[in-house]
Parts: sequence; structure tokens; C-alpha cells
Amino acid sequence: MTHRISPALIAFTVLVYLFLLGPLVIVIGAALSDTTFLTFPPQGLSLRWFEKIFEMSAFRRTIVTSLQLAFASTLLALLVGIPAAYALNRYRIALPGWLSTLFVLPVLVPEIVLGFSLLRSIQVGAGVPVLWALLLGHPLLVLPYCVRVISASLASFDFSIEEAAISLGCSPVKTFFTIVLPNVQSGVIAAFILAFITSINDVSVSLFLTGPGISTLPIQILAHVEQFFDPVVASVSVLLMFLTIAVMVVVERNLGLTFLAKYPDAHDRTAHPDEPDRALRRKQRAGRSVARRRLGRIGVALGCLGLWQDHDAAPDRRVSAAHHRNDPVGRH
Amino acid sequence: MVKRFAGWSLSGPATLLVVICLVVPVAATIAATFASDAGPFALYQAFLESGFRRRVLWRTLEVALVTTIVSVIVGFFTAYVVSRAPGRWRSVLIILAVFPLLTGVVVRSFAWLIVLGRNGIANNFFVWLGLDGAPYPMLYTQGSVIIAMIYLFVPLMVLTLVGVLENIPDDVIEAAASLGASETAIFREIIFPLAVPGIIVGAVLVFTGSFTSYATPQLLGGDQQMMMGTLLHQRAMVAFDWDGAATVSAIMVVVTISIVLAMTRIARRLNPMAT
Repeated sequence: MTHRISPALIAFTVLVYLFLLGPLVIVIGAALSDTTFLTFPPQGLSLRWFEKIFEMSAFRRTIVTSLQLAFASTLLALLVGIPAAYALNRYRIALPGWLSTLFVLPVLVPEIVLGFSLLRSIQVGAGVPVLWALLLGHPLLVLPYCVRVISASLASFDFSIEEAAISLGCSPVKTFFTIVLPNVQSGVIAAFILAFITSINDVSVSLFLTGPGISTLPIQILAHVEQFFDPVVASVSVLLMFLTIAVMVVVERNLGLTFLAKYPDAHDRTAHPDEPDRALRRKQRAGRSVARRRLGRIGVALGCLGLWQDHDAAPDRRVSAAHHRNDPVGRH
Repeated sequence: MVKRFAGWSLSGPATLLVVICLVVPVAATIAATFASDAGPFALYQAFLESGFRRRVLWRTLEVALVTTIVSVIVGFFTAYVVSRAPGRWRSVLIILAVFPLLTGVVVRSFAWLIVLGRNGIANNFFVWLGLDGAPYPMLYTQGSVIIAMIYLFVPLMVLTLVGVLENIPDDVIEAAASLGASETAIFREIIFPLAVPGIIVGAVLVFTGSFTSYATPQLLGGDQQMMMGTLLHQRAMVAFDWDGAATVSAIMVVVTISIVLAMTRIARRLNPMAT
């Protein structure tokens, strides 16, 4: 690298990064404020607005709903997306070419149109209840990420390994779980993270599908901002930011390499002969705690089941919309 | 035969999900716009005859276009610096660009409420400077929507272009430099043409994203700066005019998909590395 970048360009890049990160810093600062109105820089530091989140049942409920919905939707999308990605790569010739385009449609069609159409056809037309409509809409929304990312890692997978296992007497199902899946694990993890983030931050689809009793966090934030302008929204935003990062880190570090594999130790060396040491050690460490992992998986499943608990007292967003705006900081 | 059966049964559930929950509902929405009692195109005629809705469509196109152009320019130079930065710096810069993308649209638009409000940071600064007429009304203007949209889409543009610019071999640039090309000449003659396909991909993402956005125009534009996304929501959920909402949907789908198709075709033709 002998070619030098001009200082003007570097200064420009620094400015761009300040522009990109500044507002996030401002949100964090505003969340720590001890005043009753939004301001930056904060005049005094306190965590009272974080406590306030948990005192407000609307936020408490929507945080739980959003997390459960994101987990359930991601798992559902992986459940239908992994076989589809596998089929697209393994049986490419037998399947029509438009099939892979079909799986990208949810990102190609404008999200807000998708939300409105789901409301028209699925919720009102077919009478599907709010929760089930969300559980169809969100997996649909994140499916493209699952199929595309996992397809990409399957594209570099050598299917002759699979054939070798089957010809040696391993059943196709067992082969899939012990040979194919461990080889595309990094793809599965990336898909999980992308899908989870997409679902938990989604506005346009939830906007139409959330109904009386059930709302998601971004929709609740929108409704709250329309009426109040206090630091609660900033602290909820910060919470949402850190929840996202925490899920990423947890999935990457812990569930990471053994999340879906059944026999994590058996294929360590055979599947990745030239894998870096660090990853190998991490894998072995993970292998030793399969029991703990399984416990974790059960926990996830239970958390998803909790989605069916009552959501009766959550606020109805539509009532709040645009009616009475109080305007403590003079946004107009 | 066996393979076809296996392929279809494995991809079946995902196919069903997309067909039942996307293809059929969206097709039904679009079909509904032609089923009006007053004739097949009556709803579109009504849309175009309404000055307000025409203005909304025009404003949305304008905002999306400005956002795309600024994002391309800002993203291109930033991505160039990132792609040529030394290894450790490069990964730090990429992580910093990914970070805003992990944060939701609502949070990132909300941040601009704090900055641009009447008592916001920008106005406090202007008052402190003693500028004439400060504080200025900045929220609920087209400018505030555009700024927030640029903020939203620059990271996407940077990440798309870093991938493309990294693939330009250093040798090509060094060869040009050693033959006496100036920095501007290298930019204009080598880097830019090689990056054009990536720029088009990024521009399509930004344009369709801002054309169909909802949260940002809702929070920063309000009713004064209604855009297609907010108009769709207002028609469907406030006015309960589902025919109107379906018409807006159909227009959005047609604009988005024709731009995606047209631009991918152009990108393929312009790719100088294509064989």
C-alpha cells in the first residue's frame, strides 16, 4: 500500500463518522438526564428514567412481546428457511429458477405495503388473530435473510462430503445434522443475528398488525413520542440498542458453534481441518457444556411460549395517534 | 423425479409462507385498485386529480432522490477512505458503520428530534451564537426529513461500497500512479468507473428504502410533510379509506419494482469488469 489518501478525504471521513455516531451519543446522554424534559448535554446524571421504563406497564409488556416475537419469528424463519436454502443448493437443477427470487420478495416489496396487505388479507380477510398475524408477518419479513445468508454458506459447501457419509451408511437426516449443518453454522449464526435485529426493530409490518392488547416496542415508542417528549423514550431507545447488542454477543459467543449441532465434538477435526485454534478451542469448550446449552434452548422455547400469555392491558396505539399532543419543548 | 420431490418438499414450507402471506395478499391489494365501481382506473384518476396526493407523491420522489444523491456522494468518499485504511483501522471503521444499522429506525429518527427541536441542540447552539431569528423552526420541514434519511442510509451505502472498492486491486491504482496519473485522474478514470455497479446497487437500496419509509417522515415530517408511507398509513388507519390505501400501495410497488429491475439491468451493462 503505497498509495496515500489525501488529508482532506480523511478529515471528511472523520466528519461523516461524527455525523453517524453523534446522534446515538446524544440519545444515550439524554437517557441519563435527571431533568423531566429531553435535553443534551444532560444537566445531571441519573438512572431514574431507566427505572421509569419498568414502572410503565406499557413499556414492560412491549419489551417482553418484542423479544419473544423476535425469537419466535427468527426460529420459525430458520425452521423453514434452512431446508429451503439446502434444497436451493442441493437440488438446483430440479427446481425452477424463480424460486430463489420468490424468497427475496419480502425485501423487494415495500415493507409498509406488505404490512397493509397482511392486515387486509390475513387479519381482516381471513380473521387471523393479532398474535398469529404477527407470527406470520415477522417470519416472512426475516425469511430472505435466512435463505440468502445460509445459501451463501452452502454454496461453498462440498456436497461430496455428505454423499460420502450417506454411502458409508449414515442416514440422510443424521448426515444433515452432523455433517451439513455444522459446516454452515457461521451462516446460521449470521442469519439468526440479522433476522433477530430486523424483527425487533420492525416498524412497518407491526404498525398494521399490532392491535388492541398487543404491541411491539418500536410501535410503543412511536406512540409515546407522539404524546410526550420525556427522557423515557431515550432510555427505552438505549435499552433497545443494548438488547440488540446483547443478543448478538450471546448468540455469537455462547450458542455460537453448538446451537444446532447434535454432536459438537465428533466432527471437530474432520469438518474443519484448518480451522483456527481459537475457534477450535471455543468449540470444544462449548462442547463440554452441551447440557447447559440444551437448558438454554428449553428456556428459549419457554420464552416463546410465554408469548401466549395475556396481553390484555397493553395500550391501544390507534386511540393515541395524533389526538392530544402536549408539547413541552415546543416542537412546533 | 425423486430429486424434484425432495427439493419441493424441503422448500415447500418456505414457498407456502411467501405465497400465502405475501404473493396472494399483495396481489389482492393491487387487484382491489382495479375493482372500483366507477371503472378500472377510477381510483388512479382520483389519486392524480387530488392536488394533495400528487404533491405527496412528488415530495416523496424528491426526498428519495436528494437522499440518494447525497448518500452516494458521502458514502463513496467515506467508503474509499475505509477501504484503503490500514487493516486494524478498517475493521474498526466498518464496525462503527455497522453499529448505527443495528439500531432501529425509530431510535435513529428520534435522535434527530432531540437535535432539531425548537429547544434542541442545534437551536441552542444558534441562540448561543446569537444568530438572527434563532431559534429556527426546523422540525416538520422537508429538510429535517432529508437529513434524518441521509443519516439513516449513509451507513448502508458505505458498507455496500466498501465491499466493491476493496475488490479493486491495489496494483491497478499503483500502476496508474506510477505512470503519472494525478489523484483526481485516478478517481475519475479508474476508481469511479469500477465502482459504478456498486454505486447503482447502493443507490437502489437507498432510493427504494427512502421512497417507502414510514417512521422517519412520521416523526420528523408529521402531517405537514406527508410522504407515501405516511399517506398509506393515514388512509388505511385514520381515514379507513382502504381503496385509497390500496392505490398508494400499488403505486409504491410499481415504482419500487420498476426501479429495481431497470437499475439492475443498467448495472449489468455498465460493469467494466464483466466478461
